[in-house]
Amino acid sequence: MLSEVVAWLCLGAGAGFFLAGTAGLLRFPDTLTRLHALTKADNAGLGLVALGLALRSGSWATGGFLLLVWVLVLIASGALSALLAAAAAGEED
Amino acid sequence: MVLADLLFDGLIALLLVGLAWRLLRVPDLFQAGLLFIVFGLLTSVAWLRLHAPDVALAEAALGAGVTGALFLNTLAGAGEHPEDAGSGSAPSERWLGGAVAGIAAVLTGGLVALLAMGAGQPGLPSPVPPAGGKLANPVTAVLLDVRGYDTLLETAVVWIALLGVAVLGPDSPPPRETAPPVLVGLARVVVPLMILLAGWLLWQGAAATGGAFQAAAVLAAGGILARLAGFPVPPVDSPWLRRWLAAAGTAVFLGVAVALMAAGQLLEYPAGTRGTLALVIEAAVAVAIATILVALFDAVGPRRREAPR
Repeated sequence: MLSEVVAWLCLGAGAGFFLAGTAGLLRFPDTLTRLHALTKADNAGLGLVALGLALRSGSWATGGFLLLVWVLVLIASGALSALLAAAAAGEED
Repeated sequence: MVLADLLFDGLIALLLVGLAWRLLRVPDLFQAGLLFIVFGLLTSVAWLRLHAPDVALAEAALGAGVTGALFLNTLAGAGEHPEDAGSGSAPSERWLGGAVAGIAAVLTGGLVALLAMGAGQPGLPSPVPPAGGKLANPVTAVLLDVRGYDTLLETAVVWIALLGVAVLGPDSPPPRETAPPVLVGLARVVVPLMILLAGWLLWQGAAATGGAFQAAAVLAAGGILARLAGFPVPPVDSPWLRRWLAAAGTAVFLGVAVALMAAGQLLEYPAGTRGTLALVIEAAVAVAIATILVALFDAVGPRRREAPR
């Protein structure tokens, strides 16, 4: 019961991060600030959603897969954000 | 809950139509490429909603991922490719338009005639894969057992596409550029995992979600990432190996099919060997399609600066 409540709190908070990240993506003025908003949604939002889903699944195997998904997205989104930022900075010069 | 499902599905359907419209109308081709990737991802969500994870996986990896990369790389290379000598002349364009319209009319007419002829008859029986054996995944069973002919032709079509591209352009591998260190680091971590994942998809494709096309897409994406990061992609870099691997899918598929004709019909496998043969064929098809996709990516992108050999 408690884990169910925590799971839904995680899912809600994760969705909140995605909402805030999307708002930032739409409202921030330039590429770098937009990337800043986006990475929060990718990293914290997806982490919370994955944690919530792992708790709800109640299985270590599924939880492990979700953790793997999150770690891979962390690596990919971090690297891609750096590449995009470098490209954006290069364009401004 | 039914209402929520309906709302979600309706939203996806509307978004897909809206995206498709934007995608066709947007003047900037780069934006169109990005919209195509988003379209592919949403299509994959739609397939998931239809309880078709195999198709969703293939759509996400092939439709959104690899095809998107092909589009954007084509765009990057388009500026450097020589102008087509015959392009822009009005008479040839008019002739081409007429030919396309004629073919479209014939095909539409044929389809209407076929539909009219088949109107009173019962439809095709829905394919039922033979029960038992290692092929527990109904999608793989249908692809190899019931619709083996379609899958064979699909494999051949991708190969012929590469042959067409090879005829049009020089087939030299692209330049080894110095990539940003971040990209090199990403490829170092992710590419080995992608090769592992491709093998896993291929292996478990017999029993669960996965299969040759999904494995090929992941393998090809890994190859493209390695290429972008400046790493060698040995199976594609060697012209000799590339040609043999590209042909291997169709060759093995057809070879097994013809070899077994003595025991039955074309593309019909004896009951005891179905699992093993499926794995052999799927492995060959996966490697071939991955090789072809990376070779296509190489062929459409920006070219080497110096004159081709």
